[in-house]
Amino acid sequence: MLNYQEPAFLTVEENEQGAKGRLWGLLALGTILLFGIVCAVRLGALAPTFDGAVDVAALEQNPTAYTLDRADGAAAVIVAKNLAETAAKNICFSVVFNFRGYDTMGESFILIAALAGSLCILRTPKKAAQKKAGELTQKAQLQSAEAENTAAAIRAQEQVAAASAPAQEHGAAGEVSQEQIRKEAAEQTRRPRLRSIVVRCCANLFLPLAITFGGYVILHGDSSPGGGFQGGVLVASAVLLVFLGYGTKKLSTTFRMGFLHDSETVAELLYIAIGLIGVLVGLDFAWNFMIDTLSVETAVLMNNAVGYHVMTGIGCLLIMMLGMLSTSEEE
Amino acid sequence: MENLPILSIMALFMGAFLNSLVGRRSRAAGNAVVLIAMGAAFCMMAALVPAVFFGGQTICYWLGGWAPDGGWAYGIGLEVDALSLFFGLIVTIAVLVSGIYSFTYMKEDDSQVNFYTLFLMLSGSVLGLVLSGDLFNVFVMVEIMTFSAVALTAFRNEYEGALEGAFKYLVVGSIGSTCILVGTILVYANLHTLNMAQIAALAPANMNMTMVAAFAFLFVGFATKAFLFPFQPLAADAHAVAPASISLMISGVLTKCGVYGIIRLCYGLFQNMDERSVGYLVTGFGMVTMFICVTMAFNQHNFKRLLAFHSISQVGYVITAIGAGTAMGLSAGLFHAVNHTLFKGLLFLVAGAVQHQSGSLDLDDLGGLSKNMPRTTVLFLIGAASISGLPPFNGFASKWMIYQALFEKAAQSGDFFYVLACLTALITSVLTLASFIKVAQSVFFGQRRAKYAQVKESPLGMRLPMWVLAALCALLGIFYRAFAAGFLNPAAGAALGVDAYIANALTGESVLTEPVSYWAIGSWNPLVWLILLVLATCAVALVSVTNKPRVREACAEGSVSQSAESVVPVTMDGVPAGGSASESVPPEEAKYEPFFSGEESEYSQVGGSDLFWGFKENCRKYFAFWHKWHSGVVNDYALYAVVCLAAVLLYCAAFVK
Amino acid sequence: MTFNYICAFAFIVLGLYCIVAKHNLFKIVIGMSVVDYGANLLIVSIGATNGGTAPIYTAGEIGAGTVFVDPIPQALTLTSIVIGACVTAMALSLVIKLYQQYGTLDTREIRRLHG
Repeated sequence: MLNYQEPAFLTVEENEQGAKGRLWGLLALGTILLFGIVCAVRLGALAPTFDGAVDVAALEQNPTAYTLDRADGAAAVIVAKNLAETAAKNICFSVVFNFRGYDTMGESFILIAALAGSLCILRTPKKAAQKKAGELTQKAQLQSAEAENTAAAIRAQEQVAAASAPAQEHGAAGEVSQEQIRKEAAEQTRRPRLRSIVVRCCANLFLPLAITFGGYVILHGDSSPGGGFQGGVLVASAVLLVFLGYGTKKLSTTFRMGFLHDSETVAELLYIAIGLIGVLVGLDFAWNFMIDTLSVETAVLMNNAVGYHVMTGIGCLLIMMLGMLSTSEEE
Repeated sequence: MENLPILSIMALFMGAFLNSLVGRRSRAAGNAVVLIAMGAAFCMMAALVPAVFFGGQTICYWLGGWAPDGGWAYGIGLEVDALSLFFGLIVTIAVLVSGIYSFTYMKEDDSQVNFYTLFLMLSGSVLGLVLSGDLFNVFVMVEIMTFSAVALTAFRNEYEGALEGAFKYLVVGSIGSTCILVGTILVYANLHTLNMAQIAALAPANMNMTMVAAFAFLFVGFATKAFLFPFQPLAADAHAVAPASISLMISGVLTKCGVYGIIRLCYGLFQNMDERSVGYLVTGFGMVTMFICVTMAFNQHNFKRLLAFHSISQVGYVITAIGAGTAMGLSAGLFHAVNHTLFKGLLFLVAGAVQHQSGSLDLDDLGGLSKNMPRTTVLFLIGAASISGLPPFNGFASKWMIYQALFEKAAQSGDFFYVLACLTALITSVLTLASFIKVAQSVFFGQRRAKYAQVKESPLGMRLPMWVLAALCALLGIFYRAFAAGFLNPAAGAALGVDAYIANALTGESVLTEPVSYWAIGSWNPLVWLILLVLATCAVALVSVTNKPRVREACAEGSVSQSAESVVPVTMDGVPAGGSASESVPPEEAKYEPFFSGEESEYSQVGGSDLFWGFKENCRKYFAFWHKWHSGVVNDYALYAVVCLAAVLLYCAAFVK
Repeated sequence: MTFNYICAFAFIVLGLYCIVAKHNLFKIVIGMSVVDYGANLLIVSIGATNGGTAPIYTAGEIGAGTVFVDPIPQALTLTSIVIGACVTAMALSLVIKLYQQYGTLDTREIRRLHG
């Protein structure tokens, strides 16, 4: 069979976006901005979505005495019903975990999808990994040979510079500084980098703070601003602090990624299980079946599960991405 | 029974997480978990069929028990009417088939546990989307869907272009998702609620500039998910590099989510808008998508990229039919939607089988595989016949309905626009058939290269799902009246019956939806066509069998036939060429010599890519323009998205009230 | 509040401009983040009421004229922020791997799939 040859009019050429593309882009973006401003003005003239239709002070005294006659939106009904139906003082918290808990579940699924996706994307497939291992050993040998060469060359150059120093001040200064840089680089390839002591001390200082404060934010989500997501991210910053203070080697020995990944999955399953208990008992999904005076209810349990989930999930994500950094450092 | 929708969604998600825990230790256990999850979801959807399709009920389930109070729907509700269940069935069947295919297809890949986790999350999110009754919940499910699809597209990250395709999909896909979010928020600012039924109830009274802008944003967002023009380069890139079972999911399921969103938007949430201008918008998008994608398919050299363009072209058919706005149009669109999932899925799985066995997807490289993979060839031919609209397969039935719907709409409204739409649909159908003849010639028939001589037939684990899809194609094509009566008409009725949707959600009483009825003309008997097809095939086979010896002998002798004096050979420039002038014929035109010189030549195989060279040469300006337009640079694709958004905003502001 | 809305739409348009005009992969990812910031600002501003305070029943701070702001957009913003962070994470993973494979961060070079 003869080989197929592409017709001339279909050959690919370098395609610069060009002035025409820029013009279209600016026109389109200008139109959207114009519409945005018109919409913004119109939105400003609209009635607010929740305009004090509920007397909050009275509700605080007497939670069950609410009327929904003047309700002007879904938010009014939620604010009115909040104290009577849930035990949370933070209404945003009860919206996130009680009234719209299904959306929060979807949001935590996104985190898992992002994590699993990043795992897939950042992995090196088996065959490529074996090839790379072979290449790395070759490269390491080459590098050690090179380091020796550069060290010898630097010593030779230093002698030459010392001999002709007074005559060529400027040139020698430039050469010497370049040599210094090269010397440091050669030393660095031979010795692992030590983190600066200031950064290490700060990391030591802030690590317990981050974990404690994050834990506080998770557990007190129902009565002050916060919740599982916010606190979970704060705790996950512990991973980042360990990396900043100690480097990737210490990171990989401190945290086990497999364990974090499994914990995240278990937390997610816990979240779904708590929600499904209602269904299995014959009630609706995520039914608030534990409301009582101890202010522990499904929303709080879900909140803690989500906090744990975010903590382990973001920690896992950070370790994965910082792990990529270490492989490129080794090379 | 009320719990079945949420349980089926949760079954898929829990399967994803259990697989993540269990699959790391043992792959077989993970596969079992995946199979059970998919099977459970499908069974639960099927269990809802009698009540929802045949009984006309709408299942309304308020998560957490937060039913509407004080006249406002403040909790998240799942509202499963016939339209939602229709798409839910499409999703669960496609997921089941794709999953079973993946068990064999992905056997040699590593990190399979992540593959199945993402796969089940994709399935769960899509099912959650179609069963949902809350606009922000739809957005969250769209995001889960986009994430999983992007990660799965980049799954085989050592393939050339896999990461690139995934990145482009992520960038432009997230522009679309942001459009949906902005549209949702503009709706909330006006109507103070996020429940779709209540939005449908309140929207007519509260129309203003921001609501029209919300409609435009939501429409562009869902158009991104359905890969309409100008978002089709993403689909082409993503389909070419994704594993075949994921291509099935993207083309068969994700595009349907965009279609579902557009149906709910135009027929439900913003039903009071000016029907004429919205119809023009939707049908216009469909027409342009249909035509451009099918012509782009002529230039492709990658099997799956070609199939991707055809896939989006067929989605254009669906959108064109939906834009007609009549009961018949909607039914035709829904029918074509389910058929598209079936035949396109079949074709992608065949492409995957070819790739798995031979290792190549290059149309110019492959050839003659029907000798090695006869059963796969039969499956391909069934898929190709379905997509081209040949009786007695399902493509014929749904395309017939689409033509009739557009024609009736044109006759009813006197609009030339719908006549144009009908013509475009017919031309696209012809071009689709032409393109698949080319593909069949390139991949399965013709001469085979030596390196593919050892290619084996695809394994049974991959052929079984393909047979299931092929059988469904044939069944739906033959028994289309029963299918229409049982499934299509109730679904269209539910889509059009917004009052019942609202009443079911807000008042809690059970209002039944009526199926639509229309007069389907052109009654034909599929058996007659089947007999005709069989007779035609026999005739062709007879002719080719009796003619063979003469051709083979001539080639073996290498002799010149006696008709050398009859034809004066000419080259393409019109200069007469003969034996003496053959040295001056440029090499790329030498292969056309046999057709002009009247001699028997040793080589007379027409490669698939050369089949339509005349057509391509004559329309070269058109092909060159669109070839350059699909530049491959992500900035350009984002530019097209932004221009589309601006254009739709302008159109809606000017014409849609 | 109108000023907030105008700024939100300005952010969205700026982010879209970054995605359309910049050829460095990282700048495109930053553009995507800016679009998300704009959308989040829009959502939160929609829920604001004049003179309103945070919808938390903090002990001793609720008086006769206390008005709460809308809690629903705040919940929506929370979800949207998490989504934005995950988009950025996934996009950056892709950028890292793309650089490893193609050796360049210029979108004009990363176009093996075209036509």
